[in-house]
Parts: sequence; C-alpha cells; structure tokens
Amino acid sequence: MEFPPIHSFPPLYTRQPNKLVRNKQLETWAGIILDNAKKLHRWEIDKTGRFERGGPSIFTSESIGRAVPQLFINEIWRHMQRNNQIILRDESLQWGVLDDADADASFYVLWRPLDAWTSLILEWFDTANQMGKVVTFYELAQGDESLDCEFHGIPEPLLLRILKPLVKRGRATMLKGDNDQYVAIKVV
Amino acid sequence: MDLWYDVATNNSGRPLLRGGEQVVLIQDAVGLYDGKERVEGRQSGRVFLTQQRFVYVDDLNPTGNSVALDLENVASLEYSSGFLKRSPRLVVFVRDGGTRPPGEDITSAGFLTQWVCPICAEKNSTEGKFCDGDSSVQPVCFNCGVPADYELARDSIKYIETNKSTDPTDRDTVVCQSCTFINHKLMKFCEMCGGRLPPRKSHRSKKLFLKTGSLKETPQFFQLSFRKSDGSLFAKAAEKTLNDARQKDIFNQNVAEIDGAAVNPTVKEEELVKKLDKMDLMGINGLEKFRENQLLNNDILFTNALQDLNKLMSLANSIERLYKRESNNSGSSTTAHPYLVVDREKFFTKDSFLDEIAREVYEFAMSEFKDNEIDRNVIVTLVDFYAMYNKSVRIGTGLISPQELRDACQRFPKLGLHDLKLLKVNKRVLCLTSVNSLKFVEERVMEIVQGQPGSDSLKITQVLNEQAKTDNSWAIGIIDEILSSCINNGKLVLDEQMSGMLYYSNTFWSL
Repeated sequence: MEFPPIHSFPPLYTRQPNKLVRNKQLETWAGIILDNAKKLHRWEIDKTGRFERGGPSIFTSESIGRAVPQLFINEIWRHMQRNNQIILRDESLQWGVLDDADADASFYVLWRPLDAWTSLILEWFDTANQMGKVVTFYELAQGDESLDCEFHGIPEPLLLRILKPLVKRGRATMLKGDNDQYVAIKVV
Repeated sequence: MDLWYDVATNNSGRPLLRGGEQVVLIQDAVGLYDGKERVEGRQSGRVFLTQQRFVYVDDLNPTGNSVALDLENVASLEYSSGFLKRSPRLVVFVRDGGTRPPGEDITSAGFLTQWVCPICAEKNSTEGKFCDGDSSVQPVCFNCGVPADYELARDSIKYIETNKSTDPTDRDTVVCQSCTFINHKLMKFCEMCGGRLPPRKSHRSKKLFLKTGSLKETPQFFQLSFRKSDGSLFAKAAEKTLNDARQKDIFNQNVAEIDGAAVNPTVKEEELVKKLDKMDLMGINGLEKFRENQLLNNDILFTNALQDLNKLMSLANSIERLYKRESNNSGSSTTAHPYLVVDREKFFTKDSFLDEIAREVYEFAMSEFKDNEIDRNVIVTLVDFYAMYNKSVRIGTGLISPQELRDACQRFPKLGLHDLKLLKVNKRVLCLTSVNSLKFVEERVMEIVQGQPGSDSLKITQVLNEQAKTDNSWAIGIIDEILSSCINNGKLVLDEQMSGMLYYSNTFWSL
C-alpha cells in the first residue's frame, strides 16, 4: 500500500473534536481508501480496513505506532456511505451492522459512483462492438476483451448490482444460468 | 479659589488619602461650582467626604482633574434642594483668606478678648473678638472646659488690641497641636509625635487655579451640585463631619480621657467590648453574646493590624520609590497599593458600591500583577482572582460575593479602566485578562507547538514558563483553556494517546 505523507501525521488517527476539521479528516481517510483501492485494484474491504484477510489494515501505521479506534473507523464508513463511496457487500445486511462489534461486515469500494460504472460498462459494450450480443459476467469481468478496462477483475455480485439499472431502464436483458442465477447480459 | 488643591489619585481613580484619614461617604455624579460659575472639566465626578476634606475625583480625568478642599477651610454648609431643572446642591462657604490655624478667626485677628467664665469665675483670655451672633468664635473656659455663653459673659468681656507680628508662632514655625512642639514651617508632620501639623497657606505644595468663565474676585462659596441623587444624606453627613472636626479642634483637644472615659473612638470601641465582656449574661444567649463580642474584638484587632501594616507598606513603598528615583532617575512608576477598605455602608446604592469595588479590584489586580511588567500580559481565572482578592483583604469589613466581583469586573470599561477586561474563554471560563494577553499566549502556544509537534499541555506550560523568565507562571488550567480554544478554531489538532493529549499544528486541514 502506498500512503500520502498525512498517513504518518499522528492526529489523523484521533477523532478531531472540531466538526469542520473532522469533516476534512473523514474526507482525507476516504481519499486514502479510494486511492489505494484504485491503485491496487481492490474491490472489497472489511470493516477493520483490510483489503484481504490477514493483510495489514489501512487504519494502522507501523511507522508512527498509531491505529484508528474501531468507533472512529465506523464513522469513516458511514461518511463514505453517505457519499456513495462504499456499499455493503451483503445486500441482506443493514448499515446498523456497524454498531454490532462482533458482526463481520465488508464493503465494496467504489472509487467511481455506481451509475458511473454503469455508463462505463455501457460505453465498453459500444466500443467493443458487443451490442446485441450475449456477454457473460465472467467474460465481462475476467475476459481478455476487458483486460485493459478499469472494471477488469470486478466481483460478479457487484457487477450484477451495477448492471441492474440497465435492465430496469429496458436497455438490457439478463439471462439466468443453471442454478437460477444471472450469468449473462444482452445490451440492446 | 486657591483653597482647592490637586490630589493624587491612583490609576483606577481613587484618591490617595493621608495617614489616618478615613472616608466617611462617597457621592457620585457631582459637579463643582466656583461661586455661581461652573468649573470647567470638573462637572462629573465623585466626591469623597473624609474626616479631613472634600475630595473631588473627576470621572474623565481622575489623575489630572482631581482636587480637594480641607474641611478646616470651610466656614459653613448649606443645603439647597432641587427646583425644576436646577439640581440639588450643597453650598460650601469658605473662610476668608483660606488656611490658618483653627480656632482663630481672621476677622478678629489682632484682638485679645478677656472674659470671666460664668461657671467657675476663672479669668480667661482668648484670641479673637468674642461678640454676639458670631458662632465661629466660641471660646471655651480654660479652667472648666465649658463653652462660654455670650449673654452670661457679656459684662466681663474686655477687648485688648495686640500687635500680630509679635506672635511667636507666626511665620517660620508651626506649633504642633498635639504635643506643642514648635516645628519648622516646612514640616507637614510633627517631628516629635508625628501628628499632622496645621497646613499653612504660604507653603502649600501645589496651588490650584480653577478655570472659570470670568476672572472676578474670589468668591466666598463653592457649590457641589448633585446630578443624580438629591444629596441630602451627603449634606447631612458633611455637616456632621464638619462639626466633629471642629469639636475636635476646640474641645479638649489633647486630652486622652475625660473623667476616665476615653475620647479616642477606636479606644472607645475596645472599651465597649471589654465592658460587654464583663457583663454577666446567662445561658445560651449569654454564650452567644460572648462569642459575638469576641469575634468583634478580633475583628477590631485585625483591622487595626491591617491598617498599620498597610501604612508600613506604603511607607516602605515610598522609600523604595525614592530610592529608585535616586538611583536611576527614571522614576515614573507610581504604583500605589490599594487600601482594600471599601466599606459597603458608605454607599447609597449598590450601583455606586460596585463602581467603587470595581476600582478597588482593578487597582488590586494591577498591583498584584505589576511584576509581570515585561510583557504586561495577565490572565487569571475569576475564581482564582476571587480567592486572591478576598484572601488578601477585608478582615472585619466583610467579604464580597463572587457575583459582586463579577459585576464589578464587568464595569471596567464603563469606568474607563481599559487595561484589564473580563473575558469568557471557550464560553465557560471567566478570566480576567489584560487587553491582548489571550492573543499573545495563543501565539506563543502556537509557536511552541509548531517548534515541537506533539507536545502535551504540561510541556507547553513548562516551555512557556521558561520563556516568561519571571516567577509569575501561567496556570496550566489557563493553558488548557487556550489549547481547547485553539482546537475549536481549528488552529490545532489532537492526537489522543494513553499518556494524554498531544497537540499538533493543523497543517493538513486548515480551515
């Protein structure tokens, strides 16, 4: 992970009492998370700030020996949620899960807003000449065609949530696979 | 018009009284009239009635425009109430020719009156002309001490003209009224007993010429015009004080006791207490009375001790000042100690009492913090200051309440006392600060934090006090308040650790 200089500024790890300063602090944190996710191409993060299980938390700095307390981390998550920068990975969960210390929760990190992703993919269909063809989610996320695209490697459940609005608008139809799950899309 | 002379006041606009002089009453919003003419620049002030003088202290320019008139120059007083737009006033008739030893009437100077006392038939001779209807000369019998009645003594009166210049106590000497020692004319206090000598016109230090509209011959009276109140109480008090002062001059002047009873009022008080002590009071009531008396006794003792101490201090101060002026000739440091004897019974209204307390408190604060002269920055929480004030003064005269102190401090700007102000830090802690000190300390704190990021409040206080170089240290409570105010305005940010709060300058999230 790469961090800006502010990551080794001790007050970053303490919830600032001044509301205006705190808002800037929360934005700083959101920026650090989104930047890292984008650079590392990570889509998921758990509520302790780890991109992968067992990895280092983004909220910890070894060099200055500081870590953000979980309560403040939760505040950061809520701030990012308000700005549509993260969504809960498990759609059946509510945001109240953050208050439950024992519960496990993880998020999809959206360094672009959901509808920006939707239009990006739509654009890809156009430029890649895939209009009117059936494209599987696997092809879209992992296929060679999308290798250079920003959304390459996107988890399929997230992809489904990005593409759903197209179906609602009547721009696309989805096809179900064997086990009654959507596996492919056709954009018209 | 040269009867009024300048008086020194301290910075907060309270007159410096003579030793042993006590304020009887204070009247605010008074204007001075010379005869019937307004006196320029002395139209709004307070008049202190003391046992010895009227002291006028100007509201606008207390150090420059304050004047005093000795009671011994006052012939009589007359009170005239207000009428329509005319405010009530006290007319002060002065004696001709101004200052002179009391008991000697200038109109009859050069006369010696011989008369026989109608009570004890003793032959007396009195200076001055003893005639009917002249109340100013009322000779007292040398033998029996009873004032002579003109009607009864009329037959025996003889006038003898004397040559004034043969008077041995005329020009070069002043006779002490308490011990009769003949002092040099320039002395103000007796060299033997230290008593105050009667002032002489020829060597008054600073004569005052009040400016009026026209330059007519000197009027025979002055007027004190009461702008706000009707002043009748003041007039009565002045009358009484004047009478008391006269009585003292004439009647049994040097006598300590008459028929075994003490004359000195302070002695009298003690005597009274002693007598009460001896009274055979029974039961709980008796015990309570006894206890009260004991307390009263202690109070008197303490007050006297305190007064003595104050006198000693002022003496030491003046010696110190003299020494300083001698040594480096740059002596303009006039820091008089406050009297700390403001008595709430001397005021008509709570308002004027608070005004006086405000001046007092201001003076106290200034003298208390004068060590800090280098940077002249003072911040003290009102709670601390309250304790300091009440601790250092007011035994016997009663303490002031926190509310009173607060009200008094709020009056500083109104009274033209601009060096200190009451400030609410962080909307909760009331502090008494000098004008720029909060900003000053804030800047210093910011400097320290920028120089050493991650300092805690203890360290900041330490560094700050090392820099200050004086014994006067900044309280950590104040520093804490300043730090939290810096956080509130976004200049500092926090790093909370197990060991406490560390402070950093807000370099990343500037507002």
